[in-house]
Amino acid sequence: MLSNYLLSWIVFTPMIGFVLVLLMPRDKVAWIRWTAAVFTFIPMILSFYLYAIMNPSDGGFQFIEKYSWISAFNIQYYLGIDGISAPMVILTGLLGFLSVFASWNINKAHKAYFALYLLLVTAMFGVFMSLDFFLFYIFWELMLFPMYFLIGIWGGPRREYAAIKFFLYTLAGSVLMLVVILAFYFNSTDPSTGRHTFDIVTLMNQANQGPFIKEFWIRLAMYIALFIGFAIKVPVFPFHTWLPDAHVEAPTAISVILAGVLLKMGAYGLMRISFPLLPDMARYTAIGLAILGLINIVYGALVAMAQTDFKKMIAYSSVSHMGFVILGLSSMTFIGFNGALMQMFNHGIITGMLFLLVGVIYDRAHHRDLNGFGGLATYMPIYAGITSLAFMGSLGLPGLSGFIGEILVFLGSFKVYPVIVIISATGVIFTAAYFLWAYQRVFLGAANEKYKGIAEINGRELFTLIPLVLIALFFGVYPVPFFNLVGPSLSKLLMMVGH
Amino acid sequence: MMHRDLIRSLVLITPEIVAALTASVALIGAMLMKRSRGNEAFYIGIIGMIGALAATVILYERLTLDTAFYGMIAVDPFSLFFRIIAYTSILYVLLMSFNSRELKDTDGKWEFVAILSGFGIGMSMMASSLNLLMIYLSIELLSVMSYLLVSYTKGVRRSKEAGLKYIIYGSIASGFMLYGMSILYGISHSLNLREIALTFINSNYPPVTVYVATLFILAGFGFKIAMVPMHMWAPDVYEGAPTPITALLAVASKAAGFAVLLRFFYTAYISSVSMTQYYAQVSPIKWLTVIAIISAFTMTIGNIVAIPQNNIKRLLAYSSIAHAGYMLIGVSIISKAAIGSILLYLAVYFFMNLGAFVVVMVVDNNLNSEDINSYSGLSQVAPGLSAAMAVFLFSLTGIPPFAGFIGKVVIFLSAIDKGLYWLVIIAVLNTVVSLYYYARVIKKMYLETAPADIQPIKVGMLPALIIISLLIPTILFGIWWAPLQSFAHFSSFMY
Repeated sequence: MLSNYLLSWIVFTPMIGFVLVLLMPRDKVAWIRWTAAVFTFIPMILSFYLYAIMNPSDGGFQFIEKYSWISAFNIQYYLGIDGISAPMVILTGLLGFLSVFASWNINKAHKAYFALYLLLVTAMFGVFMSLDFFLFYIFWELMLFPMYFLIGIWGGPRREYAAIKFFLYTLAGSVLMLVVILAFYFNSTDPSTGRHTFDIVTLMNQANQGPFIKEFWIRLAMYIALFIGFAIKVPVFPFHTWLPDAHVEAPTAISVILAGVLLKMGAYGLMRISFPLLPDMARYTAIGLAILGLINIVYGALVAMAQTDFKKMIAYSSVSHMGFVILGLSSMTFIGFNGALMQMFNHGIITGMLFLLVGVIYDRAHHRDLNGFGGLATYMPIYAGITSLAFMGSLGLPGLSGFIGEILVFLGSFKVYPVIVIISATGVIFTAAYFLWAYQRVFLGAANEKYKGIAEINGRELFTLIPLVLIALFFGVYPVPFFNLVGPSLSKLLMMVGH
Repeated sequence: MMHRDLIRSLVLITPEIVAALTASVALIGAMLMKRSRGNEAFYIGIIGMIGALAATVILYERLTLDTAFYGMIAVDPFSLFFRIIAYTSILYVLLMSFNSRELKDTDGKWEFVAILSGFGIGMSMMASSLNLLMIYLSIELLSVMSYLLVSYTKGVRRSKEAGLKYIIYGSIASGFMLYGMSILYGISHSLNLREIALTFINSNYPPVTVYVATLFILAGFGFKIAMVPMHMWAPDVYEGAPTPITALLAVASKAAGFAVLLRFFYTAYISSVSMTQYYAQVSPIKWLTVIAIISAFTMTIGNIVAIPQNNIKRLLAYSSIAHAGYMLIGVSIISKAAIGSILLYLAVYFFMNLGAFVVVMVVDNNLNSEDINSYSGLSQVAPGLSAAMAVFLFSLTGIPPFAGFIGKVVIFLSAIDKGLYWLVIIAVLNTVVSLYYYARVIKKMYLETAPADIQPIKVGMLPALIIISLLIPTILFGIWWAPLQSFAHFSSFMY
């Protein structure tokens, strides 16, 4: 029972929590919080269980659930995961659970907050598991309005602007995707039934795609439309401008989810949909993708260096780090793909950690000005220690997982684009520069008298951070389990798309 | 023989007979209980509409594909679908009227019910007419009833102004339409739509003449659906009319316009005259392209002009223009599947748009304002109402998992099937534009704090039930719309 419907359980357990939270009285804050915690804990455990029982050497889709949903249009309820989606599901489970605790000090409308939060978690799981294009789109869009409210109601001072900007950008990208989805539908045949299909796995087989979408310009247009949809999510330069606004204004937990999970959806979309469905176009435009990756890495790092707002700096560091993912994907090599996926996972862990850390200091000092602190290490040694670890992880210090992802991306793409990789490598230096400079300004130097009595990081906050620290350390030293998990699926992808 | 045909015809218009009886009872009531300010009239109206609805459903169950009155009107699933929409929307308008602040003090409630029943008959006939003369008469019946309803609130200048504007614009549109029909009659020597289709096949008409006739007729139909450039009346009339009547215009009147538009073009211009010419284009002009272009303009202008609006009813008026644009995509394809998708869209649109108007009415009853700024912080004083409004507005935008998304997807599907990519791309970009102004209302309700002097909102039992009855389908059909799909598909069968 459980293992037959394991994926559905993971997707819809938060949904059950959503209904329960809606039914609860508004003033029972503790009940609501703990419901959210329990109904994100269960899918997290189930996602670990999933990892334990899945067969990594298979490379194909597992735990498949396939039912007809709307037969008039051959729309299916079709879930399944492989090595590419499994790390994302685990990441979603982990951050989905931990962020509940980062939401502990939400101070208004708890019921609405946790209800929307649980809905968001359901949608995120759904995106990473859907193998039907239509279902994928529904989950993809289902994230939008909870996110809009979560940023817009519980966000910072410019929350209204940030929320609507996020909403409009993402919707603009996804409606273009919708046109491509419909175009695929009408130009496809399912060989077993002879009908049009939304089935991603069927569409991956080029023989099932119709003559109209075999034409070069049509394919290119479709690829670009899909790419814009995904690029806005990643976000790839020049579609990144929503991200600093959304990140800075969002409450801590939502920043974690945004950086940790939502940004991955763009890159995941490229790997799951763009590359296998339109492999020739992926190869044709790979060099463009590499250049965009380069811009993301260097430009993101330079802009991050110029920031004085702690959170904004990390937001731009996300732009820079997602550039590595894009560069790795553009290489179309096994090593590059491995690096990109590793980097996606790491970025979720490490940047999640960074946003949690910013939240800790913001809760105490009520500002995030990098120049407004100084010598905090004196008052908050544990906090300073964890932050240094997260910073080091993020700037790619060997021994922490961030390094593994970056080095593999460079190794994988150096053979293909040596010049681009050499220029990108400067991004690593800038990254080191802004992280170390920020660390110096906040934690080192003369202790700022103003923060003399500031409270050290508390148990709840440590509880959200420690698991992420352990994962970053573990994969930094021994990344093999990760590669075992993703390898077979990535080589399958490479067979479809590779040179 | 003729005698039996007449009786058969009368059976086929039972719903309209019930509506006519309701109107008569209401008129008698008006004479007997002149001074009454109670709601007895509304109860009579509700009973009448339920009767008419029941008769329609029974006819639908029999799934006839028939004509009545010597080929004057068709009784087919298509016409029955619109009769269901007609009587259901009047039922909802009556239910809304119990609580409408604007209609509370009017002393003509009996006449109100009679006029509404007449509106229902007009709409049913519009969806059924197979004859140009019958089309004209039914449109005029609907229009005259609409003019009266719009200016129904006594002593309110805004309402009078709206009524007058509506009459002037409407008369001009009718004039154009009548002129177009006379040209069509002049070249084809027939008023019957099917015979017009036959003469299209058998003769070569100069395209210019047919273009002129078509555009003039389209002007008349387009007026009813608020199609650009015949949309100018909509914002003023929507704003001035009492809210239940605005809802009726936005939902029922627009549906009636689409019914007659589809019937006219489907029967006269691309008829299934013989088996070999199924779906054949019989008219000598490229009217589908004309409609596709009008569709693009309608949705774009509707959406862009909606952005700066500050009155919620005006905003919904422009949004309804934009929605007419989306539905016109289906008209520009006019295959069986496209007609089915328009019907599905109309059904979905019925729930979400009517729902939005009920919320507007409740807010107006409490705060005495239709200004969007008065929605500030509404979620803090009326959480349920605001949540419902948010769902209706997101659904109108077309965001999953709400029914509005399905409506759009189904229309886009039929357009992509015919390769109309450019139109679909314009439509999806319009969706993004529309999010901006719908989200503006949501932003007011949720993201802004309520003014200190805001009054508590009393929703009331009946409006709450109405909203819930519209909210459930708006959510349910977004997730599981197979039943609606098959209903719309069956209803696309025309005689």
